[in-house]
Amino acid sequence: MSQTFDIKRYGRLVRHDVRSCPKETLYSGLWMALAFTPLMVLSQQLLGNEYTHGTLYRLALMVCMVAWWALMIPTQVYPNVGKKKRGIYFAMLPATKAEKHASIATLMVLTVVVLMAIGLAEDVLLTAVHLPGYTKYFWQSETLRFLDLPMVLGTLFTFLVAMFGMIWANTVANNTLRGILQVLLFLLMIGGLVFFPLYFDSRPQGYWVVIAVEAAATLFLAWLSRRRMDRMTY
Amino acid sequence: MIEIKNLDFSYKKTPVFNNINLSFPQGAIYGLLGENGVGKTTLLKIICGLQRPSMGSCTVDGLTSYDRLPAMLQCIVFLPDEVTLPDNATPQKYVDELSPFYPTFAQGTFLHLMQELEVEPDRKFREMSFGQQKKSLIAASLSLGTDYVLLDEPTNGLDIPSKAQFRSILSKIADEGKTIIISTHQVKDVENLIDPIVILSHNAVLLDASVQKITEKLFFEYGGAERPDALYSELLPGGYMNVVANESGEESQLNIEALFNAVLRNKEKIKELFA
Repeated sequence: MSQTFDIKRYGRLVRHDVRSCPKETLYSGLWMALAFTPLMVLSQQLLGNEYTHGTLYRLALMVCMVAWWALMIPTQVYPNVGKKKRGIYFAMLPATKAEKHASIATLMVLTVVVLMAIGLAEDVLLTAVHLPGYTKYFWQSETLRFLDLPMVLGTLFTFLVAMFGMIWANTVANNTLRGILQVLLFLLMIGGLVFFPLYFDSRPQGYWVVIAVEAAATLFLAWLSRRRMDRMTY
Repeated sequence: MIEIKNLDFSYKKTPVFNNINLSFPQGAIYGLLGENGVGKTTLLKIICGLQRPSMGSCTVDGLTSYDRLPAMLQCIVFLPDEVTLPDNATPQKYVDELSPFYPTFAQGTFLHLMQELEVEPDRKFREMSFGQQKKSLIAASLSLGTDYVLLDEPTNGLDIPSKAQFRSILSKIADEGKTIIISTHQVKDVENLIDPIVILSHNAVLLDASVQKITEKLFFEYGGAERPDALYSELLPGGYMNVVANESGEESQLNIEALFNAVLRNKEKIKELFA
């Protein structure tokens, strides 16, 4: 039995964490994934606005919503990780600190992937039944700009920065609202720093600088949250 | 075996332990006693790796506890005094989530213990009283089959029949070669159960001895007059109970409360006697 990282144990831990995820959290995420784009499209229809964006655009909006919602997962599944008295259950689970860290990250990514898949399936279905506003399938979208590599990487790293920042916040801020708000503010500042040049700098090399900064921030926050978990006492 | 060597520990600037040494060989029920704030819970937390010693070491079967390696965590279970439980969970769901991590978990043992403690495994925690929750957690912890069981104030919230059942369950488990460490103020609840007894004082271990050794060194006299040479005297119905140095080698019935008071009031004398 490995004392550093055992894939079977890690799998057990992910299953454990999925099972202990509060159902209300999953349901609220599910409703958000299912309701967000239809509500947006239908409200535009009701207001008489012509809505011509394709699935990919709707999907991009959904990514933003679902990803930011998924960031709250540690506060739901691991609400007591950073608390002196209540984190004992988490600390005493027979798995390595690396496995526990990886499991939190996996759960957040899984949440996004699963909810996105559900949202996409719904979008395809609504397009197939020709619901007003649903004009094109994902693969027919004209908004191919979203598939630009810098854009995809930029989005991915922004999510990763926020994700590891959230895990770190959960352990450092003892899951208090004030602490988490402070971290969110910090992350929004980073996000602003990253997205401002991404949107307004048309030079291609500017994207890569931003992506490099985000990649470095991802690694730093991943290291910081792992280190915090290593040194935590209860 | 749990071994603590030259251990120092402090909370920021408040020292808790100063160069303490203890060992807990397997197959006994250890009683960890001490006044409020001397570090009983802290010691349990150090043993299971939840606190990091400032100096010295604490190992469980040779593994440094603070590393919290899976091999160490699999062989130890810690039941704190207060546990936050998921409202919607039931004891059965609770062990279902934990059991995949413990190869020694036995569902049969869990159900048997739940039955003995008279708690329904499928009833939600939120519908239970504090005592019933505690009993469920005791059953869950003991059914994990770990070699070491650390219990912090386990009898808090238990009613009188449950305390008797608890003692009976622990005796059976200790007979299976498990090591149980109980930290408690309720010494009456664990009297005749704990052996050896460890008494902590501020920064140090005052006493670490088996019941046999204690009764070899100390004599517990009941029903007589107050003795001037007594380490501790207490007026009980029927006369004084005196704790004196056992110079005649006569056997007597240990009274843990009296022992505790005698040790606290005569720290140096006790050290000399048990040196």
